[in-house]
Amino acid sequence: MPKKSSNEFSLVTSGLCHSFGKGAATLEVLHDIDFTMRRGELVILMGPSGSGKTTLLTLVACLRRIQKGHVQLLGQELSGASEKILTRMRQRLGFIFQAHNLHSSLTSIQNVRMGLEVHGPDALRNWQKTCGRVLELVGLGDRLDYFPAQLSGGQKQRVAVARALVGCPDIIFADEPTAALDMVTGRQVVELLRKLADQRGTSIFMVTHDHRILEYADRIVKMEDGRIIEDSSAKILMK
Amino acid sequence: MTGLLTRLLGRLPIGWLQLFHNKTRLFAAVGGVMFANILIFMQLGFLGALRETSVLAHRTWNADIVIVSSDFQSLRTVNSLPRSRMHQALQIEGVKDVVPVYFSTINWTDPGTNQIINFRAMGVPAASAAFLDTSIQEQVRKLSEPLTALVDVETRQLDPKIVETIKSKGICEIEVKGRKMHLTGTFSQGASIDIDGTLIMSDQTFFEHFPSRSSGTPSLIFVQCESAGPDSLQPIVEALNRVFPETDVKAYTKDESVVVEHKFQTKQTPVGFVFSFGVVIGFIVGLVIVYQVLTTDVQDHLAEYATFKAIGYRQKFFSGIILEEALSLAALGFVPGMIVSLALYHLAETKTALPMEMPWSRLVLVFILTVAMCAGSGMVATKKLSHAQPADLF
Ligand SMILES: Nc1ncnc2c1ncn2[C@@H]1O[C@H](COP(=O)(O)OP(=O)(O)O)[C@@H](O)[C@H]1O
Ligand SMILES: [Mg+2]
Repeated sequence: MPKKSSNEFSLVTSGLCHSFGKGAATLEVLHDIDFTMRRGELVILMGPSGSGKTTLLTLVACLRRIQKGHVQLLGQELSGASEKILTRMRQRLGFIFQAHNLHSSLTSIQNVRMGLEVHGPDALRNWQKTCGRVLELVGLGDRLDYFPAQLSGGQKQRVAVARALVGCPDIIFADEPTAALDMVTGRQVVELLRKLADQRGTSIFMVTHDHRILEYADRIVKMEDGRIIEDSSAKILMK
Repeated sequence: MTGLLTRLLGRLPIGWLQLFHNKTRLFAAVGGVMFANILIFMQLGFLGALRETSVLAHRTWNADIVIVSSDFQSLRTVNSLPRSRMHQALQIEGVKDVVPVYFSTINWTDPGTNQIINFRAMGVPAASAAFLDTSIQEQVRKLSEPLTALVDVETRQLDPKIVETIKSKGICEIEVKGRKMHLTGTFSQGASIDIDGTLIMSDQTFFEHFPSRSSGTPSLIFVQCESAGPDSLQPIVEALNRVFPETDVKAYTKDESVVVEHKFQTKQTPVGFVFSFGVVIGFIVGLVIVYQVLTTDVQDHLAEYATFKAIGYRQKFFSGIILEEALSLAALGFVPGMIVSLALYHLAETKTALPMEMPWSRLVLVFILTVAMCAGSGMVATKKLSHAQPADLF
């Protein structure tokens, strides 16, 4: 069991392993991961393709069942947790995926509303104002009633960011959020996340290949073949 | 509409929005539901017509109780019974009068139109009061005139000239199997599935046309009672059944005989079976079409649903979306399906002379069937989502 107190850390893993496939075809892709993240910290996870970054992210973000090892997320043990607990935990998280996954039948503001609706009817009071403000924050104040098909790739990704932010999550998980964006918008998105970490104490866990955004990180973790090979403060790494 | 549904559901009506976003799919699905609805409505319409027309005759009878042979199943195949039962019946307390009634069928070929008409011939004593309708009853008295009969104006494929001749000249002469028959009057009853129309004649004329039949063997005996309340009829029926040897005849109240006829027509005739089967087929067709549409829709939105699941929506939410789609489809398909069916009822009525009515109960029944059909398909369609981990859905 992890010894560290859950007050200081928003995420603690110990001895986390994961394998895909059954029987002889079983392949372990994560080996014995020990990892922690403080509140308000922006951590960037890097590593070659296939090294297990997405698998790690989905495990600690309640999107996949834990097979072996322990994960404490916001003080809650995820290993062996019921679907009900997992669902409740997911509501405290924000997700930004590589693909925007917006609902094509909903407008921008309706898509953002979905991030609010999950918190129940109380959260929906003044929803238009709340959602509109977050969309303004990502620079889409003039695209509220556009359908995803009418938006550019970068705009869609920013709507997805707005959807992740609107519920004021405790942790944001982002899997290559800037992959589909040009440099300027990519920077804008990460700057936004950085501000959130500083002002609201939101923890940010971001998988990326993008070297241009490393300067925003508090810590950079490197993975290879399912192991963490480097875990260092960004300042040291930059030198 | 979206605003209204949002307020009603307390959430965005994603199912509804999703349905309208893909117009082609919407039309296919609504068309499917509509088609299934029309199928079900038509079969129920014919089934209803079969039931209703099979007892049109019963409704004209001035009888509280009918006595039939013990193997009686339906007016369609009626066996004769001994006349002596009539006198036995008169001995029972509460019985006011009895009337012997004779049934047979005639295939008449109209020489003018070459149309074969399948008549049910009904013979009653001219002096009896066998009909509730006074306009028929008055004409029956005049049937003591030999070889005269009354014809149903609603007979299927009846040449209108015959009715015109009766109206203008008071008589129309036809020939039935080499015997003359004078049609001297008309009444209005209606065709059934197996009988095109009815001829009413005196018992004497009936024996002329059916030499093998005699006054000793009526087909049915009408029993008229002093008091016709259900409470007073039941003891008389019981008394009658006690007096008669079990193997010979039995007595029903008129209402019971209607129920017996309905049951026979819908359960024991091939036509009844075909129509009942058609209802089931219509239901299955609708089920399959809606299921197909909804599973495709779930498949297409898997990534979006996975995202919703990832941000914390419960299984209930997805079932809600699909149910919403299913119910929207039910409502959107039902209304045009009903309108087209009403038009087809009208068409069928003019073509077949069968009364095609749309009772409220049938509208409610078919709507419930439609909702069940759509909701059932929807529930099966969401199965795929329930066990998947969000990460596997991307
Ligand atoms: N659903 C899956 N089933 C089987 N193998 C998988 C699955 N997802 C990922 N893998 C494998 O696990 C390894 C790590 O994948 P992933 O975590 O996606 O890496 P990264 O995100 O670093 O590119 C890869 O070898 C990949 O082939
Ligand atoms: Mg990946």
